[in-house]
Amino acid sequence: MNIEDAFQVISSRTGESISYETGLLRVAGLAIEVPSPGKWDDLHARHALPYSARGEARENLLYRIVQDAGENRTRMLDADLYAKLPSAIDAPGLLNTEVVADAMRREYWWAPSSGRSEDYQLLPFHAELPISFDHTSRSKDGKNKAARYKMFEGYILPFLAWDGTEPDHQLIESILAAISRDDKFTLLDELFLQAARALSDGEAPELSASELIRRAQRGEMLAPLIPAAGGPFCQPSLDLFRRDMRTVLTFDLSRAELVRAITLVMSLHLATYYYRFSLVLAKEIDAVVNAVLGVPDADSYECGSLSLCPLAGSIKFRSPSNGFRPVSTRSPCRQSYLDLDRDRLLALSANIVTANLFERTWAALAGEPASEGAPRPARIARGLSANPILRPLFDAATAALAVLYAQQAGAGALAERVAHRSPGPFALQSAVLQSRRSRLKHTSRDVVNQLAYRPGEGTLLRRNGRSLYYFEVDDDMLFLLVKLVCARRTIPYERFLDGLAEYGLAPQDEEEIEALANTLERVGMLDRYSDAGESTFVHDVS
Amino acid sequence: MSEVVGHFDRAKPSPISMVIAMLSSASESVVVAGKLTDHQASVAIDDGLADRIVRRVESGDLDLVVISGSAGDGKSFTLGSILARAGNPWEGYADRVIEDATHSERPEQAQHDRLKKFFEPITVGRPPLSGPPLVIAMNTGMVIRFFDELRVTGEFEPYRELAAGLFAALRIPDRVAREADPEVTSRILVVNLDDRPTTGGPDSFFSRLLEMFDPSLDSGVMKGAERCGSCTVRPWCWVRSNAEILSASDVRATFDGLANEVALVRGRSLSPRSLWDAAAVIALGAARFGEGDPCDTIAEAAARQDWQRLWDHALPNGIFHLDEVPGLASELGHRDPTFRADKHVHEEVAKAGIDAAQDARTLLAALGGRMNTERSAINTLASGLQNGELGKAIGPHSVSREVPRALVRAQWISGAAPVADPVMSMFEEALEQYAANDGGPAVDAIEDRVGDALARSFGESIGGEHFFRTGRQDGRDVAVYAAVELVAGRSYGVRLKDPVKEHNSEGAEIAGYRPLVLPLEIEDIDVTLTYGLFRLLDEACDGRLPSAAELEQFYSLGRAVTALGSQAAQDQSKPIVIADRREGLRLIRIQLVDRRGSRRYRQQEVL
Repeated sequence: MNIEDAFQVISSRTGESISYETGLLRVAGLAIEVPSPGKWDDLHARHALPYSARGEARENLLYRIVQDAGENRTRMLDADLYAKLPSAIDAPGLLNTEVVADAMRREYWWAPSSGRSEDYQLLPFHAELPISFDHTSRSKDGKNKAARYKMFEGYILPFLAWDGTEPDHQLIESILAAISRDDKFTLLDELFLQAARALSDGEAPELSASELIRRAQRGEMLAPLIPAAGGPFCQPSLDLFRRDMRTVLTFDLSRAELVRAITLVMSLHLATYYYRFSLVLAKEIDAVVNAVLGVPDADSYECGSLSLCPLAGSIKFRSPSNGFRPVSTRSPCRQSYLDLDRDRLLALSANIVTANLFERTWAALAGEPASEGAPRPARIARGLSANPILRPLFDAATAALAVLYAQQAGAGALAERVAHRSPGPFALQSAVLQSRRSRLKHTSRDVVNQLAYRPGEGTLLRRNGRSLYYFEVDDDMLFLLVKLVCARRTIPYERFLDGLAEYGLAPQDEEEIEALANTLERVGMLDRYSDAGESTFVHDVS
Repeated sequence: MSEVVGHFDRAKPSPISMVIAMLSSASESVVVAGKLTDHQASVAIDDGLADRIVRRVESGDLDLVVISGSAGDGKSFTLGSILARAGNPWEGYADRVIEDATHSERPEQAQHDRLKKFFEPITVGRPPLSGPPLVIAMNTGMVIRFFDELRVTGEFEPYRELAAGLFAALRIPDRVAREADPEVTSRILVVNLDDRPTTGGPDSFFSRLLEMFDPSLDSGVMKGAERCGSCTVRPWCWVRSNAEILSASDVRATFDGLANEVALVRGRSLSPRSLWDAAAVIALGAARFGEGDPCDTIAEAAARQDWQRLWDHALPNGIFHLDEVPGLASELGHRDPTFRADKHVHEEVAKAGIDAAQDARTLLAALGGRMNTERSAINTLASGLQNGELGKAIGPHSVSREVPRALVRAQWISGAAPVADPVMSMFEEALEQYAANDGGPAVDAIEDRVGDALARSFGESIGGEHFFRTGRQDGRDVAVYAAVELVAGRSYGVRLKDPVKEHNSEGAEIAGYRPLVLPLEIEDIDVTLTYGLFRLLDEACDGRLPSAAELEQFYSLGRAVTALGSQAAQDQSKPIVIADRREGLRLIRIQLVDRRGSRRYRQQEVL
C-alpha cells in the first residue's frame, strides 16, 4: 500500500480530504508542516524534563552540579588521581602509603557493580574534587579521556529548585556551601585532599549558584518553566523537592553522609518525578484519544496537588526485607511496578514524540501557537472536547502523520497497518511506539533504575532473580522518608502515609501497612500510644 | 431453697462466667466515663493512685491535671474513683472535668471544640485560675492529635505553652517539647499511667490481681464461687483449679515474674486491662466457652471423661501448650521455660514421662491440693496419669513429648524449681540501681557488656582499644575505623538522669514510676536499651548473629555507632585503623603525632 492508498483509507473513515506534498500535509485544506527527515523524534518536554537524559550512576548528579557551579578550568582525570595516589600522599612517617591509598580508593570512589577499577568514579566528597578532576572513560583505543555525561548536567538543580518564578537561589547556595565547607575532616580526608591538591595544583574553588543558574538559562533549560510559557509540568513536586532539600541541609551528618543524603533526595525526587510525568503524560494522551472519539474521559483527575495526582499511592511498596523474601508476580508491589514501568515509563520517549506531533497538528488546525518541545496534551484534549468540528480534522491529521511517521522510519509494512488504526491519535502513538521499541528504555527505564535501584544504599526498587523488579524500600530510604515527611514533628501514622502518597508511595496492602508500622516501631520511629491504630505516631530520630 | 439441676445449682451465678467477664473482649472491660460496672468495681484494685492525686491537688498551685496513658491503662477508672469520693476537689466544678477524652479514638469536630473550650482558661494571656485545676483523662494519642489539629487549623499559638508542657511531660518527641517553660510545666500535673509499674514484686498490680482469682474470696473475681459448693463435677473443673492455683502466693510470683519479663522486653508497663485479660485466659486454660452456661462445658467434659480437654486446659498446659491463645497470654505462653537452654530443665524433662506413678506424684507435689476438694482437677489428672487413662486419651506420642514438659512447667509454676536467667537478673539489678541512684555497679556492668557488644558487632578491638567504622563500609575489603574510647558517660553510656524523672518528676512519683529500660546515649543518639535488645547484644558478645527482625533493632544501633565512629574520626589526634581483608586480615594503625610543632605519622601493623 502506498501513501496515497493509506490516505484514502483514512479519508473514507474520517470524511476529510488528505494530501501530501513534500514537507506539507494538507487535511481539509489546512496545511501541517511535516518534520524534516531525521527531525521527527522530538524528545523534548522541557517544561517537565530539561533534557532527554540517559542512565548513569546517580552519584554523578552532584558531581556535575558542582562542576557547572564553578569556574571552567583544565582538569585532571580521576583515573590519574586514582593511580598516583600512593606517591601523592605526603605524610612524613607514613611508610606504606599503598594501603592508605587503597583505603582512600574505597572511601572516595564509587564502585559500580562491574567491580572493574577502571569504572570507578570519584565521589563529590568535597567541592574541590569535581572542580579539579573529570571522571574518566576509556576510548576505543584504550586511552583515558574525560567522560561525557549522559544523565543530567548541572542545570538539573536550578530546574528542580524552581520556586514558581525563578530558581531558589538561596537553596542552591546552601547546597553548594555544604559541599565546600572545610570542616569535619577526618585524618584520611585530610590526607586525601592534600594528595588531590598536590596533583591538581588547584586553588580552592569558588562555587556560585548564580553561575549554575546562568548556565542553565544560557542552555534555555529554564525558559519553559516561567509562568508566561505555561510553567513547569508539576510545580507542587518541585516545591516538595525544595522543602526536602532544605530539610536535608539541617541534618547533622558527617560530610560523606551529607553528600549521600543530598544525592539520595535528588534521586528519590527524580525517580518519582519520572514516574509521575510518564503516568500523567500517558493519561493526557489517552484523554486526547477519548476527546477525538467524543467520549468522556473516565480516567480524568484534578491536577493541582500531589495528593490528587494519579501517581499518589500508585507506587505500592514493601517494607525493608533484611535478607531474601520471595515476591509473587501477583503482589501489588510487582503489579504496580509493571503498571508504572512497563506500561507507562517505558513508553515515555514515544509518548513525548507523540505529544509533540499532537502539538504540531493542533497548532496548524486550531491556529494556536505551537508548543512543541513542551507538549501539554491535556490542553489539546480540552480544546477537542470543546470544539467538535476539529475532532475529525485532528483524527485525520494524526492518522496521516502516523502513516508518514512509519514511512520515514522505514516501516512500510507498518504504514499499511497504521492506516487502518483509529482514531488517529492512537494510530500515531502506536506507530511511534513500534518504531522506537528497541530504544525506549534508554531515556526512561535506564534512568530511573540508576536513580532508584541501589539496594542497601537507599532504594525504591528491588530485584529477585535477573529481572523480577518490584517496589521495596530499604532501611536507608525509609529512614530518609521519615525524616522528610515528619520534619522533626510527631505526626499520626495515617498522616505519614499521606505524606508518602505525595511521593507516589504507599504500602502495598493492609498487611504491609501494619508491617511498615512494626518496622518503624522496632527502629524507634513509631510510638503506639493506644491499642487503637489511630493513636500511632511517627517521628524521626536524631 | 436452691434448685440443683444436673450437676450444680443453677440459681447461683456461674463462677466461670465471672472469669469470662474479665476478658478484654467482654463488654465490661472498657470503663466508660468513669462509670464502673458492679463487677469491675468489686474487683478493682486500689493502689493508692487516686489518693496521691487528690493529695497533690489539695496542696494547690496546679492549673491542670492530666491523667494520661495508653488504652486499658485505667485512666477513666482512676478519675472515676476520684470523682466518686465525697468531698473531692471538683464537686460543684463539673465544667472543669472531662472524664472521657480518652475514649474517642479520633477527635471529631465536636470533641475538638470541646477540648479547645476546656483548655481555654489556661491558654496564654488568661488570668490565673482560682478553685480546683482542670482535670482530664486523655490518652497520649489524643493529646498529640488534638494539638496537631490545632496546628492544621492555625489555632495552635494560644495553646503552644500548654502543648510544650504536655509534650515534654509525656516525652513526645516533638520539636515544641523543647520549648517547655518550667514555670508553666510546674502548674501542670501529668500522671502518665504508662509509667505506672504493674508487674514485678509481691505487691505488684498483677500479683494482687491474681490473688483476686481465689474462688473462696467473696470480694474476688468469682465472688466466693457459691455454685461450686453444690457442684458434682469439680474434679473436672480446670477453671476452678487453675484459679485456685493461680491465686497462691508462690504461683503468683511465677506468673508475675513472667509478665514482668514481657514488660521488660517491651520496655513498657503492661496495661491493667491486658493483665486482667491475660489472667482470665490463664484461669480459663485458654479454653473457649460458647453461648449458654459455661459450667455446662465442664459438665460435658466430665460426662465424656474428656481427658484430652482436661489435659489441654489445666494450668501447666493451657497458654503454654495451645495454639491461638489470645492477647498478652499468648506472649506469656511463648516464654515457656521448658524451651530454655537450661541444664536443670533438660534434666527434669529427661527424667519425666518414664514412670507414670512418679509422674503423678510429681504433679501432685507441685500443684496438688491439700484436700480432695482443693485443686481437684489436678488430682483427677494425677490419677489419670497413674492409671494410664490420660495416656490412652492423648496418645503415646503426646505422653512422651508433652507430659515431661508439663511436669517441668508444673514445678516451675509452683515456684519449687525456678529457671535461672542470669542475663535477666543482671538487667533487673541494673534497673533497680538506676531507679535508686541513677547508677551503680550493675549499671556499669551493663555498660561494659554493651561496649563489648558494640565493638564486636560494628568494629575491631585491638589491645584494649576499640575501633568503630566511620561510615558505611559494608562488604569493603579495605575499610577505615576510628578509635573510640568506650568510656561510660563520655562517648556512650546510660544517661545520667532518667528522662522520665527528668521531664516529669512529680507525675512519675505519683504514678509510682520505676524504670523498665535503660536509656542509652551513643553520640547524642538515644537508644532505648530494653531487656530484649540487651539480650541480643549480650548474645552478640558470644558471637551469635542476629536474625532479620533483630537486625532492624541493630539498624538504629548501627547508626548510633557509625555516628560515634564518624565523630571520633574528626578528632585527628586519635588513631585510625585500616583493616585490609584482601589476604587474611591486616590491621594498620595510623596516628598523627605532633612533636614540637612537627606533624608526623606513626604507622604500625598491629595484626
